[in-house]
Amino acid sequence: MRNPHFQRGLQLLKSRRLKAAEEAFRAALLDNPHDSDTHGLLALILADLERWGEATDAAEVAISEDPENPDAHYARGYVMYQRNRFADALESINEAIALDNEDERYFWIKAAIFADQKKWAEAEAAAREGLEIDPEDEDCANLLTLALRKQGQSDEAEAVAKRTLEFAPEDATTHAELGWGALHRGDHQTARTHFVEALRLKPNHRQAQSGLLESIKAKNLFYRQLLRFQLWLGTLGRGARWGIIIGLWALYRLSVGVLKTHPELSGVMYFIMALYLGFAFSSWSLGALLDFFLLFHPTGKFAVTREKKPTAIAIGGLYAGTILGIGAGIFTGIIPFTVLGFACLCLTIPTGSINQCDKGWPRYTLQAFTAVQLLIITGYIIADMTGHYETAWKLVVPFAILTFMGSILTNWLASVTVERR
Amino acid sequence: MNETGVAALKAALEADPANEGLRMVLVDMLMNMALFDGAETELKAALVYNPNGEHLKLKLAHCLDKRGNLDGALTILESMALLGAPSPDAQIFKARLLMKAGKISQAVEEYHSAVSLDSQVADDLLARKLGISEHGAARMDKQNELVNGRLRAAVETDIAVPDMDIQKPKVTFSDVGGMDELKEEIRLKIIHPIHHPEIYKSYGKTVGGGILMYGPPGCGKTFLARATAGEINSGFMSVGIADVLDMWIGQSERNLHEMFESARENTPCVMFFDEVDALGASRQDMRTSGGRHLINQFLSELDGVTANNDGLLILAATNAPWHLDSAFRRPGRFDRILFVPPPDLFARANILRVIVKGKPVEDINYEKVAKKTEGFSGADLKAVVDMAVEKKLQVAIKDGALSPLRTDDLITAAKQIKPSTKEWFATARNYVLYSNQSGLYNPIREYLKL
Repeated sequence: MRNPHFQRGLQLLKSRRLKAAEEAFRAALLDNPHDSDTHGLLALILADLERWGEATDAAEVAISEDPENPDAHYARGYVMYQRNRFADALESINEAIALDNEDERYFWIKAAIFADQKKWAEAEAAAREGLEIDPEDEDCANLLTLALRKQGQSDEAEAVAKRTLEFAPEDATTHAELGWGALHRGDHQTARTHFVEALRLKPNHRQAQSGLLESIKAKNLFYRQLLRFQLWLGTLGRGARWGIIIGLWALYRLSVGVLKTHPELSGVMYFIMALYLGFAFSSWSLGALLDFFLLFHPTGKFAVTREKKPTAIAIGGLYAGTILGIGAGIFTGIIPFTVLGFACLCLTIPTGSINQCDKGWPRYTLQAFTAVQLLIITGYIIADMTGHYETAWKLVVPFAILTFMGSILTNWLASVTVERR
Repeated sequence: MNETGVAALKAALEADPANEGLRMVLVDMLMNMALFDGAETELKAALVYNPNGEHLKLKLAHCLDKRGNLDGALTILESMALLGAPSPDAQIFKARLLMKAGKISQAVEEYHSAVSLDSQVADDLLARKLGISEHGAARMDKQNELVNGRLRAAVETDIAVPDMDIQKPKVTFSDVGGMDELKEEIRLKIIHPIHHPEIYKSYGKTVGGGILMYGPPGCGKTFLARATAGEINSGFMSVGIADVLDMWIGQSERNLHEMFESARENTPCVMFFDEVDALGASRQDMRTSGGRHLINQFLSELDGVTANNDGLLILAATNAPWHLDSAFRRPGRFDRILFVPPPDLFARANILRVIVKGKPVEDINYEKVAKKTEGFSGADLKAVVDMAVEKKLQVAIKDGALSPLRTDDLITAAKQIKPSTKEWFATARNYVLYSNQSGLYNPIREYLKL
């Protein structure tokens, strides 16, 4: 029979009372300070409480107390995974598997580590190994569904998810996976049904919350197609994704070149250019713009999370600024109005992507970048209002360069994962 | 914050070592922080200035007991008895310590003496353990006979039976500010059936049943439960998660049954289960058999399958109603589920008045502070006052003069504290929006105006 504090800690951990569970395990350690399992469980709790340093220490102690305990290595792997230190996490999990290759949890975390690095083939393999041990492990099954969907194998992904529901009908993640699969196919109504069900089962499920928001926005035909395109882009490798974006940009540049040499094709070329610009801007900020419109919808407003709300409002404001600026420029002939209108449009690029960046330095970098752009525009307004027209014009060029750099920077920053200290 | 408070109080005591009130605040603080060593030192220092202070000695005995120094605690209580008749409270405490030390006969004697002086101090559970009847008569029957000076039950098992006190709360609904709808619901479900049992019986309704209260932490659920017991002048047994889960796994069910039995023997009795979600978390979440058994035991106790639950009133509170097994909500179990929101403006002003009682204040506009503390729980308001007091202490130490608490001090402190209910409502909001098919969370929807 285990120490009563240990048993109590397990009960509390199961009901997700993390702080109380921590106290219980610490009390258990007073009686048995060398128990590797207790240190390991403490590490898991501390990681969930985001006390990274303590969690790492507890996991290290668990291993030092019993280096042959696979759960101790699993605990370290879990902590490292939560800290986004994927190489360390993988090392520990492989060690756990070397000591005991019949525990599906080890393969689940291994699959999750690969999934977070977008290594979908490896994630699929690890999830399949976990399912070989326990064919009814919903965590491994959900990761297999995700990995298959991300590799473009939608039909098999859906089959796995439906099979998962047979033994875990109340698994919110499985319903959310089915929702995302439906969005891939452009079936926003089915997607919505699955997301609503996932949220009924687990209202705080983030993946289902953002899925529900996307399924509501996908009612808009143009957004639906854009979303399908973006989801399809996500199934390609990183190189292929950049290739397509650069290819589209090259096509745009080609159109500009053709326009200069063959002015008679101007109608077609302008259409291609407008299409490209529309695609470029909408891919960065259309989602946030639709979030903004949803804020005025009686029920849709609840789907916009607190985190997304400031971006939605900022994007709404910037598009309003774009329309007003360019409109006023056309009607009054005052060029600064037009400049301001375009500046607002350019600012939608970084602003719309701020929340897509991981918390920490990527988000701060983009925020700082946007602030610099804002500063330049403010400088432009002040210079223009005080009659320093030449200085004002000089500021337009760095702004344009920053906008171009920003479009590349945002794509890169959005793909960075930060280590947690 | 506590460490800062302790340091500030210690510094204040250096300037005014004879201030017993201040030292007792420090002692309470240290004891709450489980720093019994420090508390003992402070109590001994207080006794230098007031060598005959019975309350100081009693507190010191409590402190020594907490430190595991049973003999030391008993010696102090003995010395109090030699100096004159100790208070009934002190005698009850002594009886408890004597029982702990295995001196059952002396404990029984002490208990008798205390109850004969003041029947209000009667502690039924202690009496039962001592083999004494409700009215204090010795009941050394076969089941409770003494074995080598200890109760047979205590010898037969090493497993701790929860030491549940049945109290007689003195607070009533008049002490609870606001919450009128809640009070009315409780009257209808609990108080009227007690006062007019014949009307309820004529409609085939039994007296009893359960009410589940849910809401953000620190908003007065426990206080309301206590006031309910006070309102009907019944016994009150408060059962926390620690009381049940601290036992050996597999014995929890037995302990739960013991608690219910103890309450049934003392009807009318209000049993209050705090954080009931941890006890009765969804059976799906409890994958271990231990957890399931506990829930099933709890449900059968609620149903009164093997015993009569007439006159047993069950109140429960939870911060996480969404984790509660739906079986708990069936008729006859917790069939009334009440939302306890954060205190409203009027209640906040009243709570502030209660918290600052005994502290030096000057012209505090409670309504103004209440307006600035929208969404604050009772616990948050206490934190506001604590912070304002700490600031005052720092100033007092620096300037050497005490200045009273003012409205601005409280408002400044309130600005630095975020309402703890915010996080709870962020989660609750999701349940309202996405998981409210049964309408269970409609009161939250109304409160949040969704």
